[in-house]
Amino acid sequence: MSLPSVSASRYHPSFWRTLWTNAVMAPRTSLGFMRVDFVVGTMFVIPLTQMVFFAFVVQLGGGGATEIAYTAVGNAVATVTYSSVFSVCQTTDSEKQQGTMELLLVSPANRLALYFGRGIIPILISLATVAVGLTYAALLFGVTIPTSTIPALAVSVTLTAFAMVGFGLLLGGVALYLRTSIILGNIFLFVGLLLSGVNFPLSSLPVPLQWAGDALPLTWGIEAIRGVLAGDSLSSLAVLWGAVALAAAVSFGVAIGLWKYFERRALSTGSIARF
Amino acid sequence: MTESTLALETRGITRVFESRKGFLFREVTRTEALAGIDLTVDRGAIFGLLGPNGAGKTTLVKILSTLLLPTKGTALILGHDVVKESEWLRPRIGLVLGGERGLYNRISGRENLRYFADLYGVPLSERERRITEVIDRVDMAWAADRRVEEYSRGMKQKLHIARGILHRPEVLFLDEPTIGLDPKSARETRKLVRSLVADGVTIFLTTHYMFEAEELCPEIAIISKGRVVARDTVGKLRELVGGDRTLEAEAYGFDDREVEALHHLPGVSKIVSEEFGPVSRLTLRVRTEETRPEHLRALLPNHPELSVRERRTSLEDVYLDLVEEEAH
Amino acid sequence: MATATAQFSRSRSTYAALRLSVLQFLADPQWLVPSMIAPVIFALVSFELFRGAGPYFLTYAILGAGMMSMWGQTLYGSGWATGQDREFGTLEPTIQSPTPYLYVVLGRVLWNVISGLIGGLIVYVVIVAVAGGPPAVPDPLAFALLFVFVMVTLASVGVVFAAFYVYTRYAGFIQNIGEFAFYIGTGCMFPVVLLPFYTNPISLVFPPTWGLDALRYLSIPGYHGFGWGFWGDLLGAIATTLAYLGLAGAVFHRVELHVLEEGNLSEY
Repeated sequence: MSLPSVSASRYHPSFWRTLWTNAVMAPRTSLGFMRVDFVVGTMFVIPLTQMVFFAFVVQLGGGGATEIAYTAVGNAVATVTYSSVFSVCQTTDSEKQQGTMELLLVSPANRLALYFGRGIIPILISLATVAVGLTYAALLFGVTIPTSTIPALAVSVTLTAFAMVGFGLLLGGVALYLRTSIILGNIFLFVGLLLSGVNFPLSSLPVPLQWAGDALPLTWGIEAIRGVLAGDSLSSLAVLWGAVALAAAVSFGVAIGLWKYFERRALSTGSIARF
Repeated sequence: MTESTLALETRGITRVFESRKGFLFREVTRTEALAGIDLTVDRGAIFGLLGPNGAGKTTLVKILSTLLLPTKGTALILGHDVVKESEWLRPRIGLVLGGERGLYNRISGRENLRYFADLYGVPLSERERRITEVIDRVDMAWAADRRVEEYSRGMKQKLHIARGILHRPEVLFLDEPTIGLDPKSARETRKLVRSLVADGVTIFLTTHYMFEAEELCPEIAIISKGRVVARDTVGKLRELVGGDRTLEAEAYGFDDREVEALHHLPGVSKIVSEEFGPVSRLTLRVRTEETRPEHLRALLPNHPELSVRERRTSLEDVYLDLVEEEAH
Repeated sequence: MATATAQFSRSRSTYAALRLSVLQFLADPQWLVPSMIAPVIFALVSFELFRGAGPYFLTYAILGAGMMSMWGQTLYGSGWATGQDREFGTLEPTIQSPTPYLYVVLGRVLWNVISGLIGGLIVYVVIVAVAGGPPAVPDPLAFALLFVFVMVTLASVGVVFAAFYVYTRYAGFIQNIGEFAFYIGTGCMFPVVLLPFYTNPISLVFPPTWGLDALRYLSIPGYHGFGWGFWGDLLGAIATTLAYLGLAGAVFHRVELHVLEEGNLSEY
C-alpha cells in the first residue's frame, strides 16, 4: 500500500475564500457585538443620544440653530467610530481572549484576506449607521438634505465608511502587539471629537492640532459630507472625495504593513497571546 | 444538631440547561446535563468521579461547590444544603477547576493568592505564612513572584491547586487536577492529595486518568450522560463487568464457532470482539482462576499466529464497558 | 487536621479588591494613556464648546469636562472590570469565595473614584492653563468637597451597573448603547432643566443628577436649576445615594442567584 503523496496532502486556501469566510464568520466569532439587538442599538440609539447630547451642550454654550445643525451632522458621522474603529479593533482582542489568535497566525491563510474580510460587515453597518444619523439630523436637528444631494452623500458616506474601517484595521494591527485595543479605540473616539471637526470647525484650534486633525480619516469624511450638504460644486467635492479615498487607501495600506510588523513583533515577544 | 458523618450527600440532583437561538422566533433547546444523581461520600475520604467528556462531571462539581443551582434534587455538603446554606459552606470548601483561565494574568502568583486569601478571610497574622506554605507545597516558590501570564500550563495548574487549599477547606473539589502536569509534578500532586486526606480533608476528584483514579480512590463512581452508571470500590467494579481477570487473544480472524466455544470455558462472563485492521482481538472477562491462556490456545488450534495475554481487568476496561453499555 | 474556619471581613475584602485594581492598573502602564489623554481632550473640547456660555464659561467647561472624563471611569470602570473577570475566568472563583461579590465591586469602585478624581484634576489644570487663570468659584473648598461627593453619587450608580456585568456577558454592549443617554439624563455636561420637563422624573432617579445640580448652584452665581435650590439638591443626592447603596445589596444578591440558576458564569 503506498502512502499518499506529500503534495496532495497540502491545502492552499484561496484569497477569495479566506476573505469570504472571514467576512461571514468574524461577526459571529470575534465581532462580539453582532447580536441583532445590539447592532440595532448601535445603529439607532447611539447616534441619536450622541447628537442630542451635543446639541444641548452647544445650546448651553450659546449656540443657535446653525450651530446645532453643525454639531448634528458632525456627530451623525462620528458615531461611525463605534461600528468601524471599535468593532474592528476588538476582533484582535476577541481572538486573543479566546486563544484563537495564535491558531489564525499559524494557518497558511492569506493575511490580507484574513484581516480585511473582517472589515466587510463593519463597512456595511457603518454605512447604515451614518445614514441613520443623517436621517435624524434632517428630522430632528434642522439639517436640510435636498434629495438631489443624495447620490453625492452616498459617495461621501461610502468612502467615509471604508476609510474608518481601514483606520480600525490599522489600530487593530497595533493591538496585536498591545494587550488590548480598547485603549486605542477610546483614544481615537475622544480624539475624533476634538480634532475631526465634529462639534466645531478645525480652524478654531491651534495650527498644530489642525494638522493632527487632517491626518484623521474622519476629518475628511465629515468635511466631504458637510460639503455635499452645503451645496459645494462637484469639483470641490471631488477633491474632498479624493482626500477621503486617499485616507482610506493609506489606512488600509498602513494596516497591512502594521499587521505584518506587529505580528512579527508580537510573535517574537510572546505578546500575541497576552491580553 | 449532631454532625453528619457524610461529607457529601446528593439526592436526585438534576440539572437542565436551556439555550436560546434566533432573534424574533427564539428556539429553545433543553439539555439535561444531570439526570438524577444520588451519591454519598464519607468524611475524610477520597472519592473519584469518572466519565467521558460531556457526561456531567464538571456540572456536578459546580453544583456541589455552590457555583451552580440544581434544577431539581438536593445536595448536602457537611450536612448543609448547597443552595440554602451556601454562605456557611463557602469558607469550608475549596474548588480547583484548573485550566488556562481563572487567574489574574497581569499580577504574580503570590499576589493572586494574597487576593484570594483576603476574600476567604485567612487571618492576616497567618496570611503570608500560609501563602508561602501552599506555594512550597505545590513547588512553585521559584516562580511565585512572576506574572501569571509568564507561567506554563502546568504552573498555572499548580497555582490553581494552591489557591484551592489556601483557606484549609474541609472538602476539596478537584476537577482534573493533574491535567497539563508533567509526570513528576503529577506524582507530586497525587502525593499532595494523599497528604490532604491525612489532614482530614475530604477530596472529590474528577479525572480522566484511570491509573490515577485507581491509585488514589478507594471508591469511584462512573457517570455517563448525566447518570451514575456504577459506584463501588475498584475491585467490585471489576466484578461488575465480568471479572477480575482478562484474557486477550489476537489472531487473523476468529470464526463464530471458535467464539462460541470460548463462551463455554469456566468462569467466562463476557467476550468482546474488536478488529484492528487485519488483526482480530477477543477480550474475555473471567471470574474464576480456572480458565487459563493454555485453554484458549487449545480451543484455537487453527491460528499459528495466535497470541494470548493475561492481565488484571483494569479500571479502564470497566469504564469503557460501562460507558459503551450506557451509550447503547 | 483543618484549623478553625476563616471568616471573611467586608472591609478587608473591599480593600483587597481595591489593592488588586491598583496592582492591575500599575501592571499595565498603557492604561495611563487614556486616563490622562481623555481628560485633556475633554477639557479642550469642553473649553471650545462653552466659550459662548457667558462669564462663567470656565466653570461650565471644568464641570463639563471633568464629569465627562470621570463619568465613564467611575460609572463603568467597575462594570468593565467585572467583564474582565468573565474574560479571565476569575468570576467563578470569586463568586465561589465566601465574600459576596458586592464587596469586590465596592473595592473597584473606590479605585475608580480615586482615578476619576485624578482625571478631574488633570481637567482643571488643562483648562486653567488654556484659559490663563482659574475660574471664579465663590467657595473653592466647598466646591472641592462637593465635587468629591458627586463622585460618590456616581459610584453608587456604578455599583448597581456593575451587577449587569455579572448578570450577562453583553453588559458592555448595553453600556455603550446607553452611555450618552445616561450623560444626558444626569446633566453631565449641561443642566437637566434644559431637557423637556417630562424627562426630569427619570433624571431625578439618579443620584448624580442631584449632586451635579448642587455643584452648579454652588459654583455659578445666579444659576437656576431645580426649584428646590442647593440644599434640596444636596439632601436629594444624599438620599438617593444611600438608596442606591442599599439597592446594590439586593440587586447583587438577586443577580448572583440568577447566574447560579442560569449557569452562565463561565461565559464571556
